Amino acid sequence: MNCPMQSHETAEILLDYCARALPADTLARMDVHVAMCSDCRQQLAAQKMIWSALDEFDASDLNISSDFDRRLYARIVAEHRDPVWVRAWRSLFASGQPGAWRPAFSMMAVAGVAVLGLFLVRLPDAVSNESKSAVNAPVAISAEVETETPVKTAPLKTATVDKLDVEHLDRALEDLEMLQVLGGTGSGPGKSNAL
Amino acid sequence: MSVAAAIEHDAQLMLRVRDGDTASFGLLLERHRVPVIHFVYRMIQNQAIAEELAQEVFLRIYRSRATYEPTAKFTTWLFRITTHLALNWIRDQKNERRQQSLDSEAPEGTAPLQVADAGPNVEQRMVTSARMDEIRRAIAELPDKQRAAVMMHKYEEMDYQQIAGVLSCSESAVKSLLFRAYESLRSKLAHLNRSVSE
Repeated sequence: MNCPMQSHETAEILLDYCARALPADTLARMDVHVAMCSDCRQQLAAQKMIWSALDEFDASDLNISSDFDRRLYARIVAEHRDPVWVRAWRSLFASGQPGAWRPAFSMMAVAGVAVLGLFLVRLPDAVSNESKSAVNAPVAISAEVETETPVKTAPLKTATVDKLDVEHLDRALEDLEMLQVLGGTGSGPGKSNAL
Repeated sequence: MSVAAAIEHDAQLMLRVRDGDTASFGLLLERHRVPVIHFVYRMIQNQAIAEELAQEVFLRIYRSRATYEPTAKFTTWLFRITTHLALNWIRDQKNERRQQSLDSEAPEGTAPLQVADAGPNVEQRMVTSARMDEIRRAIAELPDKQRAAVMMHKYEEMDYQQIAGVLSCSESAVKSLLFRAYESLRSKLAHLNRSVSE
């Protein structure tokens, strides 16, 4: 058997050997090897010392409070009295995993992009209505007001907005697709406890 | 009960909790209460806070019962939550201490440990107590993840794969964490070995 101390990767064999957690055949080969290898013997003695020192750090004499369960159940009952949205919010983070909130965040982001998309779709109508009223307004309000400026600027505005709108829509759709892909690969609430 | 049967039993109990059977939650609590409290206690070395954090662990288990899927060992999930809470507490304590700049002689997050009477006389008890303090300090000085890995490896007898699952890292990272942790403990506690042999 090669000396485990020669390689950093196999040094954990000594840990397992010390804990007697190796398969029987490896354990037997290690017994033979350790009898011949002074490096391993030294390392083993040091590891055994740590192992027994850690054994001294015993928590079995710890007196767990007799009302531990009662306090826990009281907290559970108290939580049941909380409003539904508070409980839902808590259960979102209950698994203690940093990514547990990701599905909700993705959904909110998708909803946000959808709202933005709707806003952009409605924008050209609003702008063209505005420009129409801008064209008509001087006529309706007063014949004295010069109509040159609004007539010239309104079509320009509409053209720019139309151009921008298409770009924005494309971008929003791309964002939406990307977020859907990200939302699909993220871990769901049920997966938060998965490895 | 065999290990495999125990794993399946835990998952079955948790599935029953998911279906609204609170008695099964009581059984899970009965099975895992002590290991969780002991683990947190060894991590933070304060019994009152260990119990408080253990309560939070079981509360979180109960809260997320509706979304539970038995895709991993129950204990991996349980200790992932436990480790997460313990490491968060340690981090918060560090930040608090840094802000307050407390001049404390005791190591981080520690309270005097209750040591069982090991010897018949005062001198022996003092020696045991001092030795215990050394061990406790050496463990407390380990980086948080190394400490958690040692606690799981030594006391919970978890294998590398399960520790990796709890700490969300690779098995080789766990081996490296453990190797460095034991190396560090060996160098810090080497004098204990000498004093015993002398």
